[in-house]
Amino acid sequence: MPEPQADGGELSLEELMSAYQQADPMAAAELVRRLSSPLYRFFAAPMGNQMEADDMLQDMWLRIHRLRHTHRPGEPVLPWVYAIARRVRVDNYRKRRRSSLEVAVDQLPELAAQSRAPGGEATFQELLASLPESQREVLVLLKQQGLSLEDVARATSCSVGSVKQKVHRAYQSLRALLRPALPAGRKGATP
Amino acid sequence: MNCGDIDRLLTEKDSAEFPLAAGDHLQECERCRQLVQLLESRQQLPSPSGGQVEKLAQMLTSDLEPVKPLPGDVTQFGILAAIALAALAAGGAVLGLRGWDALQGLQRAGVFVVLALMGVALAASLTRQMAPGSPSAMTPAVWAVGLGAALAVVVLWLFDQRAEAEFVRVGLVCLQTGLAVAACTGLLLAWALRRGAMLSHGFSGSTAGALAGLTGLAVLELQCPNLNAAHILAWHLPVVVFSSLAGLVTGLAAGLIPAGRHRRRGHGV
Repeated sequence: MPEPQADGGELSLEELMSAYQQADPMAAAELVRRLSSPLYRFFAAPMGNQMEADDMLQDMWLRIHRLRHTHRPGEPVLPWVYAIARRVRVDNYRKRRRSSLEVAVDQLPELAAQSRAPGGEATFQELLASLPESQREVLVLLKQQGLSLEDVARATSCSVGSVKQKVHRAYQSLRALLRPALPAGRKGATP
Repeated sequence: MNCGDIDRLLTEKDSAEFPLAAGDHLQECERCRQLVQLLESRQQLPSPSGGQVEKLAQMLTSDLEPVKPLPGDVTQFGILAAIALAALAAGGAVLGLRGWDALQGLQRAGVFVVLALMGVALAASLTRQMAPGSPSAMTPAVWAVGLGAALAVVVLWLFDQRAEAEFVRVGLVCLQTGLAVAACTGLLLAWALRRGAMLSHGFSGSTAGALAGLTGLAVLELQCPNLNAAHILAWHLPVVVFSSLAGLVTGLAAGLIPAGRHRRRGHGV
């Protein structure tokens, strides 16, 4: 069982992962509790389909369980988890495409509709959906999941410079999408 | 401070940590203010139910057994390098060192330094590919272009070209020998990689194939006394190309095998 830290703080994800590899059930359960919500949001973010997010979350934990030996001690856990999560999402997309499952347009933005701000303004999720996949992914990992630039780079198998470039482009795209909502004469101060 | 500065701050900090100057810009710039507000409004997202989370926790703990983590980067790299060197040594011992004897000092240094550098790069890339979330591995384009270009330049620079009477017959023997060595090395590499979690089966397969092919090429340079640049370019270098392609196909085929068979101990995500 993972021992609480001497200062009374929570065990880190890396310590929990190490205990999980040693078959500690408490560590495994704690990892599920800490990581399931952010992973669920990661899966729900691009298409807003809760049922698919449920399936992907379950698939994700099965893969984590099967591949837990591939986390090297001392390495950060989050990039390892999200690298696998990206693969789960890609596989889910391919499976969906293979089965030619057509989702009715009015059923798709289930979550987006739930989170729509009063007054009809576009939400983060709605604007996010309009970004290219590569920009959306790094933005979700960085701003929604709270990963560091280095962790996003590891999770997406690219360099920190490339992540910065994609995020910068995502901000530019979002500004362009926000622009029509501005009243005339109230444009940005400096481009 | 301008919009570009706000972008950099957004990328590296939470808005609560912005300096005062950023606040001044946000008051003036409606687009930046909207962007910051938009990125802060991300909390309205769903979570899995408590029951689902508990069910997942039970699922994981029901058949929990200790696992041995993958060896560290250095150890794993050492294993892959040892396999390649062992194959090279065995190839040299079995097939002879007539090629090594025929090479001049600069040719030896040029060829084997480039081969060693590319071998190190490929083994390091494979080591990283085995564990998801490792620092980015060398991309296929980089190693394919780098390997081919560096070797071709070295061969054209250090070796003479001449016409040969039995160019194809002699060349085919070399190609077969190199591919046989690459196939044996590839099997050993596959054994060493079996516990890894490859995110891209094709990429990992082609990288392993390239490393195996590089070993086959190195054995040919030890064994073949033919120093004709055209012979080396036409019959030695293609060993790496064919091995990479074979690795690519094998990797893609391995990725098609359903989970639960070969993936129980790794191999694919």
